[in-house]
Amino acid sequence: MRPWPVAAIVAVGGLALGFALLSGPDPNQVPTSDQVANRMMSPFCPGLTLEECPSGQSSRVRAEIDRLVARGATNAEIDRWIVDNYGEVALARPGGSLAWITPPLLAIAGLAAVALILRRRVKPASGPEPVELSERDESRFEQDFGRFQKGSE
Amino acid sequence: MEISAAGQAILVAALACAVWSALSSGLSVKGNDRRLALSGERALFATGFLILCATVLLVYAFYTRDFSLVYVHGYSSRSTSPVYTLTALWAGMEGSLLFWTLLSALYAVSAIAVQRKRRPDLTPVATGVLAGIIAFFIAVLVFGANPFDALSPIPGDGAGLNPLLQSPFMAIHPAMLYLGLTGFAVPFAFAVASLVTGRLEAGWFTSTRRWTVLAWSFLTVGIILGGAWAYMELGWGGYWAWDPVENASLLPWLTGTAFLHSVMIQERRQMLKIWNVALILGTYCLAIFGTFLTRSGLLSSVHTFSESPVGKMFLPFLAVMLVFAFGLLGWRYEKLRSERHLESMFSREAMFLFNNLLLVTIALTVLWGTLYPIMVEAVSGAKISVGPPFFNTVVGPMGLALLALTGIGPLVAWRRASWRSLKRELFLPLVAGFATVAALGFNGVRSAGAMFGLGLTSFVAVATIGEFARGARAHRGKGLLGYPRGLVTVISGNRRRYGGYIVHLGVVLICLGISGTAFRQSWSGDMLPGDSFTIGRYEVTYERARTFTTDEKAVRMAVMAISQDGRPVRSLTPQRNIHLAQDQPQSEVGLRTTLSDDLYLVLTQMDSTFAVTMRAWVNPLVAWIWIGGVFMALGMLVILSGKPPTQRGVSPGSGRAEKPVPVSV
Repeated sequence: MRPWPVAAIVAVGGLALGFALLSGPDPNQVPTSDQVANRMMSPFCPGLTLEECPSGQSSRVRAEIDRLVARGATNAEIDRWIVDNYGEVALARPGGSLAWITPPLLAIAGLAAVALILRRRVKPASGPEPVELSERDESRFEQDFGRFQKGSE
Repeated sequence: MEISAAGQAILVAALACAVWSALSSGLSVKGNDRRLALSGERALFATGFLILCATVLLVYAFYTRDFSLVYVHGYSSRSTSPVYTLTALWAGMEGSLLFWTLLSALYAVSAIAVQRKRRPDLTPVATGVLAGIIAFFIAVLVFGANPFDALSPIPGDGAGLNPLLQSPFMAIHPAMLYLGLTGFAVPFAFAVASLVTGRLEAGWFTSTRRWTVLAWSFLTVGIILGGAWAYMELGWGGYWAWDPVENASLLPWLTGTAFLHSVMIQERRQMLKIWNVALILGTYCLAIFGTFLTRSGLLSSVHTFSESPVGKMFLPFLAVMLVFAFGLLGWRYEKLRSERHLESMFSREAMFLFNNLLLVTIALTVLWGTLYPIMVEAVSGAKISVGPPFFNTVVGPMGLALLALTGIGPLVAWRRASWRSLKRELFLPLVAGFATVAALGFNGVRSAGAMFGLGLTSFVAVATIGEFARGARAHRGKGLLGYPRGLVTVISGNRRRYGGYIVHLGVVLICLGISGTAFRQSWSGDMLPGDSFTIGRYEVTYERARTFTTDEKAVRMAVMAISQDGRPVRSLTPQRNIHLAQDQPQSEVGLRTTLSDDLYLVLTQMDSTFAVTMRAWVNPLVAWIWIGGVFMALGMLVILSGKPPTQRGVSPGSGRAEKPVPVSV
């Protein structure tokens, strides 16, 4: 198998995945309260989402979200409510496309580098094809090799 | 003599010794001056001794409640228990930096003491590098964060230790983390030494392999203990929040893990020399970066220290380290180029290459996600967050691919694997993986992440256990105990290889625990005594409240009766306490752990009528994360219990490889 076609397929797949990730939840869908709490950073617990924040104040925000969800607010409306009340910093999913596209690009660049290494360096061995060992031979080899290693340690 | 003046004098003397050690060691290389090199080594030993004295002095000040020191006053009080009086040493910025410096010095002294006879060609430069690093940290202590700063007038009692830090996990976790992070300085210094001296053969890493494995082991245990601390003390129901400081400890772990794998390719095939040097240089730079991040005040986290000028001192140091280390690498690039070739994409080497690609991509992604908010704020002034949804979405798939490679890699032969043998080796693991997915599907599980994660977990578990079974079969004796004896023989015969597999089993168990997140359930609500709620297989009843005050805290406790599948089990008592000295609230979690799930109760608030706000989670399989951690620690002990690696073909003192170096896997 040649490495370049494989790398190209994975690269296209990676980019597609990146764009899929970027799109996030459907803006017109009504989420559950848990989904919202998992993608909102708590204003009261540094570094924690609302779902994880044990502060008593977070319960009040959750109650507000419960009311919005019960009223049928969509993902887009709830995100707007979060930004209006707590700022963009309260969105746990970064909005910018750069944030989401960079990791797949990094993976693709790495893959390209590996493909390059393989293309340059994969040379067929000059020796014979690997010989398939029977179970018995493999067992004997393991035993002999174990004894050799014990002796050399 | 006052303790403050004595401490400051010791630090200044240590700084002078470290600077002299760095200078004399560096200068000795140019003229190959053995006397200067020896002077550098002795100055390094003196630095280590002085830093030890400074640490002992600070610990003495803590135990004698000497509140004439700002640091002792800030992190202890007369009521602080003896154990936490010791751990207060690393509770604040100044003490933690002194502790970091002590560990760096102990590593440096022990590495140089061992290697000066074995590798006299590399030790002068390595001594200079290690002394330079230690000199920087002492300079930070003297000029930026001095733990011996005096307080006047002297108060009668101290402020006490942050209650969150008064936990057995927190007593050990930072120490383990620091032992890990500082330990990477040794392979870093020897890698730089090999670049400076041009001794670029495998010797630099076989000489320091034990330090690398030891550092990685401590870092692994430290990260897992950090997760356990967060889970049991912080009361948010989780163990990993993708917090910037957690990420900072994960970064060197990822690149260190990549190094421990890829270095085997260099040992076996003399390939990837540039990559290996780059990985270990990058690993220590990331360790320093994490220290900078924690102390810069750039990020807000439960782990960070307060903002201080220390961060500004770290930035130029980090820049110098990066330019110096990677500049040297660029300089030696041609000499490091490998002449060997990969023979097949289906070889152990190629698997390690993909493993490295994934680990480094994950590390860069985590670094990117951690720094992205800072970059956005610097460019546009906007404050944004990059939280768990980003990391889980982006890192998750790469982590699963890495898990798959953990199972496949050991089954693939070096140089070239035949399809026939690969198919034979993969058959049982694949059956186990697909059977798990099918069983989950039949039981109504629809989460793709959980099915994929648990399927892969089974696949890797069977593949890894298969390795043990094959080895045990090959070495089995007669009788009932034949196989267990064979297992002991095979593990003790190749501790590095089978220790590695035990670590892999630990990883599998941790992945099993993480997969449980997909089935997590939560509940929150207000309750009065007598109220009940149901979560998962548990019914939880708020029986009564208890309130009382001790010398340290005002305790508010909810006694919760638990019944599991209709059968009463023991009560849980989540608490919401106010620590009197700090006037700080803290939750004590009510936790019932079983192998299948954890019931996790957090009392968020309790009013004067004993009405409570309660949060509850059922976290499936979490216990396996801690069991996996124990397996990883066991595996590391097995690896470290083997005899030190000998580098055959390298004559002592010459540092020149006479022939390719055969080293066990």
